[in-house]
Amino acid sequence: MADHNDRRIIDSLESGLLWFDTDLRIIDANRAAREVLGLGPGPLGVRIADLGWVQHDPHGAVIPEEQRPVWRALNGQGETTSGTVVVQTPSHGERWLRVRAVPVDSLGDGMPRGAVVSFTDFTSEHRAVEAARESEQLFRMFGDHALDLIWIVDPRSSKLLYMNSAYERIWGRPAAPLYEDLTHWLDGIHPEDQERVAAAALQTNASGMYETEYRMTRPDGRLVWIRGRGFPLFGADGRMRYMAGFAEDITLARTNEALEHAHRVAQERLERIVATAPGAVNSYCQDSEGRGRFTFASPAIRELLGVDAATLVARGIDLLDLVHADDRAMVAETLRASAELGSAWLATFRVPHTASGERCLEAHSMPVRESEGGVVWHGFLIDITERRRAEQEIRSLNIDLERRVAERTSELEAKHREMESFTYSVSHDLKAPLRGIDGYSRLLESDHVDRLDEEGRFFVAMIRKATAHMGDLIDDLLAYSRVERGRPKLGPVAAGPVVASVVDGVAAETAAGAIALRSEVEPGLSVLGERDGLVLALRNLLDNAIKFTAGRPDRAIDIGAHRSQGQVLFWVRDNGPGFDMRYHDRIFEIFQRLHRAEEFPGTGVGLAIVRKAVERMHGKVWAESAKGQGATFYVQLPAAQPANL
Amino acid sequence: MEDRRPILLVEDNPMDVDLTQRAFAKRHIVNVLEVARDGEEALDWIARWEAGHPLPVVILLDLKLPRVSGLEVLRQLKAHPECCRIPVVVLTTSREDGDVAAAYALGVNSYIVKPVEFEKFIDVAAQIDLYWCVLNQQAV
Repeated sequence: MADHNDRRIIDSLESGLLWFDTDLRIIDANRAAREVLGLGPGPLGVRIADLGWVQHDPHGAVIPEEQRPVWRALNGQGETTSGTVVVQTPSHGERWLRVRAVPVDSLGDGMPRGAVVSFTDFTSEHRAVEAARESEQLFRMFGDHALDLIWIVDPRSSKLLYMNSAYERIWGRPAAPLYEDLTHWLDGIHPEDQERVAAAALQTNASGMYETEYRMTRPDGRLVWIRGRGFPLFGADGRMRYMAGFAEDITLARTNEALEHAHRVAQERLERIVATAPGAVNSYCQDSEGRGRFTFASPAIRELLGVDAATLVARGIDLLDLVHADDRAMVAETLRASAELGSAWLATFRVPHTASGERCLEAHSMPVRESEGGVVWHGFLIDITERRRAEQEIRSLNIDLERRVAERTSELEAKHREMESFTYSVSHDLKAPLRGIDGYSRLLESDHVDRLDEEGRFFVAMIRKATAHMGDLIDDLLAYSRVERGRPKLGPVAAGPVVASVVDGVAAETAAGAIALRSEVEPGLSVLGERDGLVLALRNLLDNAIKFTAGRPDRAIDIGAHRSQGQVLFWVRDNGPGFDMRYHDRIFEIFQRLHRAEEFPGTGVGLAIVRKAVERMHGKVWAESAKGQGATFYVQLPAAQPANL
Repeated sequence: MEDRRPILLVEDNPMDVDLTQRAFAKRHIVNVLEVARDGEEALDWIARWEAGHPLPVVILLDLKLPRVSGLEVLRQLKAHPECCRIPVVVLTTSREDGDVAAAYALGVNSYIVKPVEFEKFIDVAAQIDLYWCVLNQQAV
């Protein structure tokens, strides 16, 4: 079949060669084929079926005879057939072969007289691939059991190469989109942390390891704290091949840390409050038998009880033993009542022996019942010694002040009685001689007129006129002093009836004097005042108007009242001679007159009475006039609130 | 029927006594005007009335009196089982509200303020005469 040189070439090939006849007998094989398949160096001619080989495809299925490349080559199905065949040899085990079969037409008539099969043995490559696959599987299984996220990225393409299932568990998101586009990595990371996380990843690319903590919000809304670590993986050549890293859920640790921090802050705050609180914070408890002791006391208690806090607690000293003997029963009773009702314990008591002597303390505590039948009061004690002393001082000052007020009041009352008795005397004693003067001059006039000449009669008339004026003066003075008598009793007074009664009172005079008197009161008006005082004021104003219009042919007087800015304004207007406004303030003063007696009679008391009566009711009185223009007098009083009616 | 029993004037001012007498005379009042010059003297009359002296038709009483005040005289008169029936007219210069109220509280029958003018005083005398001596039906 081949000469000696050819044979050497054939045997030097790495590929195996087998020659088959039409009966599928192996009639020759080169060195490579013999070695791979364990055929030995001897003559061949053995049928392949007798070799005991099991042939199957890469998936492990047995290849039926008519599917094998050599059979197909001998049976004229195509020029060259090929395939991958796994041969199980008794001596050399399983061999993975890539096979090509070519029919041999030695006579040139198109009929195959045999076939040449060439193959390459890739068993060892196949085994290496298998081993790698198994190793990766192992790695994946291992990774999926890890609690932390594990990832590997190809830094050149920025493609995610691997990520374990922890991503889906911690992030609550599918991992698939990350394989498409690694920037989805930032999905869910807290907006405030995104920049920092991205910067950390970049830094890793540049220089190696990083570690960072950040927040991430899961699609279900839960906030998760993540600690991420990244690092480069280098190839044998020292160049970076991969970026890899871990990420763990540190929410619990973070939360615990936050809680511990909050607790520490609260504790510190509480300690500071206790230290700076006024008085002494304390917990005082009584067991079921009523034995008391302190379980806690702030340092300030030393000044209040005379015992330092540590000793107080360590020795189990009872508060009741420190309280003043006279207050002990009261303190015990208030504690008992507080425990029974569950209400705050408030008590004031004395503690006799402290560094600064006896102190007066005030207790504020809330009781809490304990399971063993005892009660604990949590609260504070305050030193009120100074406050007590100040209160006592104020009390004694008040007593002194009240005594002095009473003294002054009785002095004033005595003065007032003196004043009353004075006016009484004025009334009685001054009038008695007047009555004599008037009586006897009248008798002189009536019984002895024949003995008087005209001048004498004139003198007698003048004596009587002066006497009458003196009587008027005394009466007016008494009326003026009477206005002040007693405290005003202010109440609602209806304006309409008052004006009507005052108008009625002068009806005879207005009729006699042909005076046109008009009154005009807004309906429903009420003032806050005294009826008598208001009548007195309006009556005097009206009398005044009547007096000053005397001697005119067209005497006209208006009286009325209307509401004005929450007040009630009364007015009395006349068309008399009026007065110069320069004298406005003088006309309300007692004994001040703007007219001579022969013009208009009067004592100068009427308007003073008006002012006094109005001011007693907290009102105002004033006038508007001009000489020859008549005068209008106003009285303004507060309107009565509807509630006062 | 005119009552001709006396009128008792309790008045300390002699000028007022004289003028009262003259005023009564001007009105032709014929009742005898008996005079007590102070409160004590006025109270002395009680014993005389108890002894059978005729009771006055009216007592004109000033309030401001030496020794015993007019109000005290009034109180004792009105507290007396017999004398309480004698009408008492307070005739005074005081128009103090307190005096008026006290006098009425003690049971005074009338309260008149003495006018300064003699004519008015004559009118008052006439009214007293008319009301107490002529028209009033006496209890005793």
